[in-house]
Amino acid sequence: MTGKIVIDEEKCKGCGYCIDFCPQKVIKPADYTNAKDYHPAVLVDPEGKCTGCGICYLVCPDVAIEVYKEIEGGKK
Amino acid sequence: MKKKVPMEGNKVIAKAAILAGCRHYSGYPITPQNEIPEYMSENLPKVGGVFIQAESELAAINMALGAAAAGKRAMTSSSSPGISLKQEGISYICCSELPVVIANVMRGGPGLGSIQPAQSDYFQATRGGGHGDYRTIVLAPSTVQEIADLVPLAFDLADKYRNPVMILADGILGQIIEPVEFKRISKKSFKKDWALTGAKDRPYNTIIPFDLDPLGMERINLRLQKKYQKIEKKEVRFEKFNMENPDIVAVAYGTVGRILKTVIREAKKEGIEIGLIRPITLWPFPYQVIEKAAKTTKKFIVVEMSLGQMVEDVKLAVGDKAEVHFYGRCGGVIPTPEEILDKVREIVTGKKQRKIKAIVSKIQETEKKPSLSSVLNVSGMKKIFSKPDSLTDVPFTYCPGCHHGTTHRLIAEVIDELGIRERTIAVFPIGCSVFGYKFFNIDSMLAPHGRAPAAATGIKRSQPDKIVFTYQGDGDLAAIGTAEIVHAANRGENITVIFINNANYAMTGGQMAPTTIPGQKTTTCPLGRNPETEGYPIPVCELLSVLKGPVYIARVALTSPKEINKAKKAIKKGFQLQLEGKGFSLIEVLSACPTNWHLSPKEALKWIEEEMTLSFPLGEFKNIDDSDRGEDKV
Repeated sequence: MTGKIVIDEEKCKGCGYCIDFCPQKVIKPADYTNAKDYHPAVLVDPEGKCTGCGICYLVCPDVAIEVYKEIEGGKK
Repeated sequence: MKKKVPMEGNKVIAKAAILAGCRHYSGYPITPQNEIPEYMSENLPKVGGVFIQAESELAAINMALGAAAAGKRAMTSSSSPGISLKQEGISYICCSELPVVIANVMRGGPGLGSIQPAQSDYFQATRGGGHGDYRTIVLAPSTVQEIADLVPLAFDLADKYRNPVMILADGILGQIIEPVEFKRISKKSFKKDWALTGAKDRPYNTIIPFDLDPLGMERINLRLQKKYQKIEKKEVRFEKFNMENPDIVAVAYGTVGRILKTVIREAKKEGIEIGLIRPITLWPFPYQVIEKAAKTTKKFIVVEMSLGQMVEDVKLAVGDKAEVHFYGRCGGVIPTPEEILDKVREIVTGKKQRKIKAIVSKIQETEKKPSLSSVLNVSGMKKIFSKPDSLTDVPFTYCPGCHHGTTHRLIAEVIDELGIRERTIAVFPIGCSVFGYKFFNIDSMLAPHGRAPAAATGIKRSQPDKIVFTYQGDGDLAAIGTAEIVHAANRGENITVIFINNANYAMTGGQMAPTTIPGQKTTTCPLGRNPETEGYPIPVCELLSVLKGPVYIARVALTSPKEINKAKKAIKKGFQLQLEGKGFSLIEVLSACPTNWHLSPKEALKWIEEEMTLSFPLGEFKNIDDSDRGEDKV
């Protein structure tokens, strides 16, 4: 089962909680800034390691992350 | 000649007070005057004075009352809503005939109002403000230098007349930095043989502000009136400017008095002569000089940062000798010289002028850019975690890493899961989460600082079928609101309380809170909280759990996914117990405040785990399902 996360980069304030707690270490700070001048967190997952565990959503203080999980039988 | 130094108005109030011999200061954080207690906390102890951060404005004014009764030069300060709270104390101080200096750095009102400069406390300041026939001497500086000059005078007048004196400034004067020289140092020494110093070798002294015999009480009042008449005769102060045969006389005080000088300069260019009478004492009011001016000038304009409070006094002075016009802005809006001049032109020429819009700073909404991650292809995937319905789309305005957001989300998830969104009502506090009403997709209100449990009680008793929760910070709940929370808990009020403990007053810039831990540095305990003088942190859960009223009390943290899940369970339990009609529940959340702790978000989590939990151990303190207490059962 693989997952994906969608980060609202304008809501993100770059606190780094999701980066620190991600078990797969697939979230990184962006090298650019958003409108509020924060470096938003971004998903960097070329190998498809994200499991959609939802820990990033859980620790995010800004409700900036949506978590998706592959449905069985669904398209990838 | 002494050298002028640049200094902020609030700090000048504090420094001038110390130089004038103030040796007691008690106050409570409120914007825009926090630099006064902050300066006092650092500098008053250096001269052997006493600084106390009180648990409320009520306590602060009464500490000053006590210090004055003990013969010390005492001071307190606040801003508009806080001064409202001090009014009972001011009335007692007047009747007790005690010298206390009160600084009011005004902001927009009524209610919580705004934090920007205003002059809307003119009535409150000059009419007494509290109950009874009394007067407070009111000094209104218009520059930082004038603050430095008037503060020592305030202490002298207070001692001379044994009466409170108010320094009435506003947010601009409090925050502005100007060159200042501390020229006027109070040298007067007042004999205080009435003070409570112990009845050694003299008859005992009493300070008693009442007489139950009406004739006796009338005698007290008449004695006060006699004193007030003397003050009215002797202590009127004002500034006259450009008063040689003006076309119109402007009356304005404080910051507006100063803006008027620019208006006068500009008006001169087009041949309009504006005279200015700037009252320096608002009580006693300079009626005579205005009355005299009305004999020769037939047009007056009163300009205020309020909606015509001083107009009444000017009309009283002018009578039917001249016409009195008014121009004012309020709510924290500062009138520009252009708009005042416009109004003056209109009055002088009789022609309606073009409307000039005031410059109002507005919080800029950031433009919504498409999120880069959103281009990720998620088709064929199921959304498993996203914003709960009980939250709006408004982005949180909290600092990076602040746990208000996480707590908001957990509450919203619980409301969603219990299916109670349409019947939930929230009461938000004064503090960082004052904006909670924007973030929750539910009915909500704002209660005065600390009073949320009382307001929630009123809602719950009126609509028992609704689910009512308060959301309160540590200053709100554990300092100024101590009485309300203890009594709501003790009544077993069927409400849920979410208590955010971040060990400081965050909204006002990081002052010491009742929950600040020993040794922790804040802006009002710059050397670290010293339990000997500032007490120990208040363990709210432990305190309330000894009462019979509460059914569930727990302390949680949000330092890891595991702890966050535990916290959510505790919050859910609180709401469930309310749904079952069981009674009062409180969930204390140890909440990261990286900004005011001067830590990174990651370090903040570590600080909670390693330092904060030593003073505030996690766990359930009361659970009606389980008679065991103090164990980690969340």
